[in-house]
Amino acid sequence: MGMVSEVKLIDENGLRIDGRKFNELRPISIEVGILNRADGSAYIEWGGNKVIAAVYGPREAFPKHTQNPSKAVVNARYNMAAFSVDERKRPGPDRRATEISKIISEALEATIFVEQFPRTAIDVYIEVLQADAGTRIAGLTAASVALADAGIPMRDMIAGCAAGKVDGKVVLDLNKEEDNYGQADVPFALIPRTGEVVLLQMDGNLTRAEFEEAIEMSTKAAMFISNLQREALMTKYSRAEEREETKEEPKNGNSGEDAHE
Amino acid sequence: MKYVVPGQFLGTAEEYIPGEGAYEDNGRIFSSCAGDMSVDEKNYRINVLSKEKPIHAEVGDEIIGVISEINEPIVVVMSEYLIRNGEIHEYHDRTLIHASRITGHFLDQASRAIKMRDVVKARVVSTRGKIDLSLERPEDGVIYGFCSRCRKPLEKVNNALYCKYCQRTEMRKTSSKYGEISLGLKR
Repeated sequence: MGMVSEVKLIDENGLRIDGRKFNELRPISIEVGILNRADGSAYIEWGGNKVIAAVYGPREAFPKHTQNPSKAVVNARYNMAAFSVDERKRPGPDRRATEISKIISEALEATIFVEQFPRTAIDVYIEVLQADAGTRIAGLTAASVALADAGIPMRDMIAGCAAGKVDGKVVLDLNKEEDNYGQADVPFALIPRTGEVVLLQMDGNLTRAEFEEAIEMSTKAAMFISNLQREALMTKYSRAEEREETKEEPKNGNSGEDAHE
Repeated sequence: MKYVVPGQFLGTAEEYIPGEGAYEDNGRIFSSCAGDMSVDEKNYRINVLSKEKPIHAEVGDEIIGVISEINEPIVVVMSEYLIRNGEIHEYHDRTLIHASRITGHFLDQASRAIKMRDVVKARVVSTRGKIDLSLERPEDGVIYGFCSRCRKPLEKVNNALYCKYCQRTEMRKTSSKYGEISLGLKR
């Protein structure tokens, strides 16, 4: 951010470096229930981002002094794998990961019915396997699907998207080049049903009009992503149904044979 | 039956009362879980039952698992199934057995009564922080063991386990139901 742009990020046709229009998202696919040891899990591929989210709990919070007698504590941990970026990242939590973990925890706490589970902890682990700008929102999107998969009661699934300013133009869903050489980046997440904002940050500067344009674009994109989240859950459900049907079939066959004998 | 996801509109507060897995906001009822929606017309209640409610081990449950690690005096069991009220559930967790809880009397080494990769049936005795199991009851213990030399299944002969390929006898804390993997339980 703030670096002098040497590459032209938007060409004369108004297309971006990866051929997208200014308000176009990168391709997104979500898969639910990929880890069998976790209570709930999800995997998201968002352009070049590949993120796994796993949810455990509600379970007894340890150490005991972290327990809250009136509600559950949501511990999200955002972690980038050492191999997730071009140059090896030193493993372990750094200043950036600690901050992102905190804001994701707070965003999720706003949607989970935490008061139903006093003295417990809900652990959310977000592992970034491959990073290509916008990982905090990708992680948060995957985490809320994983929470739904874990059966944790919540108001709605959080969805979000980032917008930013590149070559003096407000664009949706920045990729790595745009994030590095652009002028601003605004990650944004909301509760789709009510429109309540649960995460909003800004890196760089935008005028008021530009900011409002960015939010408007992100909101539209978040509604679209919210539908993808629902579809991902439905897909897992229909697969489970199919498996159950195939399981029952041989049973029916056997009883038929018995009757024949 | 209809599958619903969190935040989905289910009905209005004039019609129904939000039951399990549902909540009311501003006179409207929404789902708070992903699961099957059912309407209880008698009590005017809307319930959402999540398909897979995670099951947690409680004291008194039985667990079937595989020995994955022996680190004296602790034995680590990777549990696969949990039995509660005669019903079997899939349950994946890392559970522990202390050497003092294997035979009911003093045992200097856990590996005298249990070997790697044995399948055991055990009872949960504590769930505080970690899940502790006990093999002290006669029906608990190894339900399927493998020869430590050739890895072929062992047969129960009298009170010991015998490998007919190596013609060796091995000692285990065996369950009284050795070899009965399907215990007549329903899923």
